[in-house]
Amino acid sequence: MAKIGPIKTTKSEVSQTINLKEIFGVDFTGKEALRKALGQAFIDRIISKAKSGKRFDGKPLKSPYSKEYAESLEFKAAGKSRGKVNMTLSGDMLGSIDILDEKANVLKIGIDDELEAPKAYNHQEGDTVPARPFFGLNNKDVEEIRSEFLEDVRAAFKERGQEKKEKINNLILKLLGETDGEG
Amino acid sequence: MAKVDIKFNRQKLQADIIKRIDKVIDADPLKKDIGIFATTRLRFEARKGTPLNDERNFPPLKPITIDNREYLARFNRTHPAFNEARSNVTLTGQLLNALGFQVISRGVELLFIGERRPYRTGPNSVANDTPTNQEVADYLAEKGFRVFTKKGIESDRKFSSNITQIVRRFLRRSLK
Repeated sequence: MAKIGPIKTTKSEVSQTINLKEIFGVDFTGKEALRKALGQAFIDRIISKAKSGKRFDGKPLKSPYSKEYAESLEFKAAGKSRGKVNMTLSGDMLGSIDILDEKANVLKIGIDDELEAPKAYNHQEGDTVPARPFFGLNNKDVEEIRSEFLEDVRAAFKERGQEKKEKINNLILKLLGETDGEG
Repeated sequence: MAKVDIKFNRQKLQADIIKRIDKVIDADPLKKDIGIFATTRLRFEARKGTPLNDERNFPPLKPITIDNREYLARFNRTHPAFNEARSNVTLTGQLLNALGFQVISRGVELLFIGERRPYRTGPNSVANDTPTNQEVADYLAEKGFRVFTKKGIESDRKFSSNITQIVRRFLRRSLK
């Protein structure tokens, strides 16, 4: 089974699955806090790459922005510059990347917002704008995040000494649950 | 989400959830993220001429104002979003650039920060008065040019959902 799935790109959803068990070699059943933290780390990686002008595969995004786009009021209002491609105008598209589905060992991250998914699709595929496939993880991303979280994953599977951390995590999970009804 | 306290163009963004987060973990980085998002968004919308106020627009400019702006544009470096006839509280850009925030106990307070660079009024002359950016924002608000209002912010679905996402992301990062 692959550590990361292919990038799914439709007008209603742009997403990718991540198999945590394949990446870390342990079963994440009952480890909701860790799963969510890892999901967020993968999301942060995608956003960070896009904002620094990189495609999902680490190569540079097509630059510069077109002259026509640079002449638009939105471009000027956002204080953008032609040579700095960062997939950000209002921030809504990158801001809508979320954990879409969560099972014991598999996460699906992506965009399924009705306004932002078509936008993301357009950038990924180059439908009516130049193709700038910003969304997705590559093997290098996975390895780097694996290294970053390895100690935390090991600590979470130790039997003793985790009570205080678990108590805080439970409180945070409760607060997270309360944000689901908001916005 | 927000319990808001409004004074002309000063605004507190508060949420009970932030107070509860504060009891569990240090929420100051969260508040800073919210402040950065809010000021960036409000600035963007105002410069487009679609401010997050009750009307979602600024009043149209009077002909004399347009003439004044055209005149001042000859001697001052204008912001890219400037157009003499565009009602977007932007000429040099310094007012909206001054939109900032401070972290308070349950959230952030939005306000206009600092002194202004006076406009050049001719090739060798400069305006006499030097109000602060907050004073200019308050004056403009009295004239109907409100950069944001409580109702404007709270009724914008995207603004609210972005704040929720910021909170969620912060909470997830705090888990391990």
